[in-house]
Amino acid sequence: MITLSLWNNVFMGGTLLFAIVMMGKPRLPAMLRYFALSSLCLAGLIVTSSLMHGEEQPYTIAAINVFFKVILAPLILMFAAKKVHASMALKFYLRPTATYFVALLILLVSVFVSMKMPGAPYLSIALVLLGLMFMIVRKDLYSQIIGFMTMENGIAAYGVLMIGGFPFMIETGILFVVITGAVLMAVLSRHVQELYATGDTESLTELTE
Amino acid sequence: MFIFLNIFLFAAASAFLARTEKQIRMSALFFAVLGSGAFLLLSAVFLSGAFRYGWNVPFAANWFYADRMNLDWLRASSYYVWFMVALISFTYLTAIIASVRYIGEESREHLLTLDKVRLYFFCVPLFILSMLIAVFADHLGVLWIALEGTTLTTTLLVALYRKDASIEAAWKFIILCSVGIGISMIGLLMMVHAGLESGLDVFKAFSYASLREQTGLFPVDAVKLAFVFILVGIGTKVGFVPMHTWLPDAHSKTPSPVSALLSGVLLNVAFFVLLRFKILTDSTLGDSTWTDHLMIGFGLLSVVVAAFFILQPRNYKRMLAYSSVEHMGLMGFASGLGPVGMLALTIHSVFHTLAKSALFFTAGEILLSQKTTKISGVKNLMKKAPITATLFALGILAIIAIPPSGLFTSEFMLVGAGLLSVPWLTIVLLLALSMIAFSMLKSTMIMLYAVDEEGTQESVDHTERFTLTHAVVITQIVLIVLLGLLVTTPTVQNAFTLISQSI
Repeated sequence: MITLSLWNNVFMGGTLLFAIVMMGKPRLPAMLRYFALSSLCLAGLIVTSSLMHGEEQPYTIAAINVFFKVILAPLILMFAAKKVHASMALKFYLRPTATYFVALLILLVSVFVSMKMPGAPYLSIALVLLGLMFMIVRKDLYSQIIGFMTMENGIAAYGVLMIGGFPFMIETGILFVVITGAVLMAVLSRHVQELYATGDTESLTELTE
Repeated sequence: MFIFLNIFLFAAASAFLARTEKQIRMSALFFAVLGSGAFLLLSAVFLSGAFRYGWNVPFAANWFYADRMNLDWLRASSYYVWFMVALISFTYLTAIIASVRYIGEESREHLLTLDKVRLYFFCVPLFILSMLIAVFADHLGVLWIALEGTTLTTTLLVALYRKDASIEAAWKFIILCSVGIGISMIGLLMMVHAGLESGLDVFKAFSYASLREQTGLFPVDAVKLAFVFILVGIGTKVGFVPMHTWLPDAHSKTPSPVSALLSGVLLNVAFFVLLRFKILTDSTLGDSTWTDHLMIGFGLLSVVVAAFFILQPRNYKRMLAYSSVEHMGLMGFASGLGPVGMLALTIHSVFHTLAKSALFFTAGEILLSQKTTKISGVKNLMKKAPITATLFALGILAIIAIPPSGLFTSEFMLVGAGLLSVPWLTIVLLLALSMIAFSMLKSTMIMLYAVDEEGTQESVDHTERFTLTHAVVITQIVLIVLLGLLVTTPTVQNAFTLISQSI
């Protein structure tokens, strides 16, 4: 018999697995697809974890999560990239194989950190660190945005697993703020593409001391 | 309360309802007078009532709004909240008056289109609203949303000119601040988790006031770790080194009145939020030594690093931005020095707000007349624009804490308290402060008196008009001098002590 706890574990695994697979994807559509799948699993985790914490109506919050992170954010980024005819090939400091190796190291570090940090869930630490790592090893603007949103997924996972989720209004507010941030970043990335004819963060050197 | 907060929403909406550029500016001014007037009045009533008649501010304020609507998300929990509200409101009013002149001038010169003027006057009230909510926030989720709101509303202002440097500054700003605020969220959630573990229900665990009542039951290690996340996260917003890299770029590339708001109040608001969690952590640990060391460390590092960057400034707006890093460092240092340090910090925040916003307004005037932000491009200003030059010099003297600027009083207290508890670090601090004062004065003298290559007579324009911005800056400098004298009197110092102890 498939229990709620088992589904909870499946969604936790899915959230992390798709985030790791996303790390090595060299093209924008693939990266967005895996981010959407990871976020979809997070929405599933919100449902199962909230039910396990005794919440009766977790479906609205999960649906809002799906709308914002699985549908809206990838659509906005794809639209912004297509509008300026940005290259779908992403720029990186590390090749995919090396990126997966660093991701593996981060998973090991996360085990160590979760043992040292009282009560911090492994999934949350791993997602936050993976998001930060993604922002460092990738050079293009879209990866920076997705790295930030992966980090935010880690924070959301912390909220779900440790606190049983946020109050409805607050959850909606946080999602609204995060998606507004993603929209602004997409708008800025469009301007960078128009000004520099590239989405490479290395071109942003005007303001160095 | 919600009625008053709505004024800012109306102000934002009016930017899109008004038809002409002049109508946009005038409606923004109208709502600024209304909104800041309302909040300044409320601050004056509650603070003066508290000092004269011993009102309990939280009690006096609570009947006014949240509880009646069964919402505990916002709360005026201390004198310090109303003190911050007064600072925000005053700077908002001055910034909008300066914007009426500054944006009008840039619009006339076709540097800004009508759509950009709309965007500007749409974002500024929302930015102020976000700061007010962050100050009033009792619910940690609301606090986080408001802090992130300040980033989002100002990103478009930083990118307003759509030039390569402003887009780059906006990109760095949104990425670094969003990541910083994200990291602080982990700390906030750890605090909430500590609250849940101590027996609070999920709604009360999100309330700062409820958490403060339960601190004795929190696990010490978890709270320490949470504070580190909050310090790094909100420290990014404060501009502590090494998380400060967004600050000089954003503050120098945005329109000058917004730079004044960013440097003058946003940093103070972020610092206030950080202080609230320092107090929560101290209360859990039963001692402030641990957090004091962290704050002194970050504070000193910020002052020293800012001193090296100010040593060879090329851009006067960047110089002022690094000066903000320095002053946040000073406030961080002061916050680790016990009650005297807290008093110095409170006084410092008022005078830093006044002096820095006055300097950015004047920098805007220099930019309008000289068309450059490079120090090497501005020469002989005392002859070309004597009013602006004089006000800029007075502002610089105030910010480097020359008496009777109130910053002298706060820094004197800070150094006194520092020499007693951390003498060697205070000596390093004094050296860094001397370097900063010397460098800023040197750059100012170059801008004011260096003769330009074209020859003095041809390039000198004696017909500088007295503008609205000049009037605002003169008011601020008069306040700096008057309050600077008053702050040495026992009555005013007692009032500041009450405010500083109420956080």
